[in-house]
Amino acid sequence: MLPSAVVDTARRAVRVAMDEQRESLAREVADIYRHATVAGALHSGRLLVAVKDRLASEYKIRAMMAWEIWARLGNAGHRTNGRPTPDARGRS
Amino acid sequence: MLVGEVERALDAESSDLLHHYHEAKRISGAVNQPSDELHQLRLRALEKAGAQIDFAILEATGRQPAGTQTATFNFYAPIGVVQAGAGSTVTVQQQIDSMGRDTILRALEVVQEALPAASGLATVDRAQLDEVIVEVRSELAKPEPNTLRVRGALTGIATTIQTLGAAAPAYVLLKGALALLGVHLP
Repeated sequence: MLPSAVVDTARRAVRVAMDEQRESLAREVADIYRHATVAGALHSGRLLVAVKDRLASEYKIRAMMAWEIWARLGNAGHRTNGRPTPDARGRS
Repeated sequence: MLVGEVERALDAESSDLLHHYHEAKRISGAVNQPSDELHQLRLRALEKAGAQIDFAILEATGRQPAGTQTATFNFYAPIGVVQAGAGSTVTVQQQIDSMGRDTILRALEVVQEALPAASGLATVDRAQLDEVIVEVRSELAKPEPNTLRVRGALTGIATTIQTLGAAAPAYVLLKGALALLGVHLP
């Protein structure tokens, strides 16, 4: 099992990354609504298709993001005998 | 563990997707859309991440030079312990999740496809391999497969085919499947 310090660090990193993703998604969905309004398609199926496409890629982005964070920190933990060091953490 | 963590992250941090979806459904007036649509999108994303994890495990096990005592372990299914050092003993409770099950089944499929071309394999070995593969499949079909039995059978299959040139890709896949069960072959 991965050391708890690595697990905690990875989960925290995932949370921070997901916070950023949430903000960015909200902006992009707002853009979709704006474009749909301009095109007169706000109350049509086109709006839902556009949002759904964006959500499909968002799920994939978040899943891959979480996996990459775990892979990166898991390897860092292995190299440093299970204890993430300040240099492995990078800028504070 | 990794797939579980990815799933956990998606579930814990993605309630906003559900909100955006329902909002878009409400505004567009498309109330008759299937209710599990978002669930399907989530599953597809998990499958994609699972495939990446599979590849990483295969790469890690494939690069491991023979005879060395060091290894990088990427845990895929929930696992209780890492055992190291001669003579150490431990009890492990390990389960095969659905993605692990799929990986093992895929590996078995490739093994079966490779068998007809494996001329160096005695008829009796071929028949026994077929029999063991059927046993593993039936074990995996159970709600709670016996991990010990699956691990033992896969190790047996792997050691039987490892010297057969025609079965080299099948051996690599089996090695990856066994890595999911905590067995690291050369």
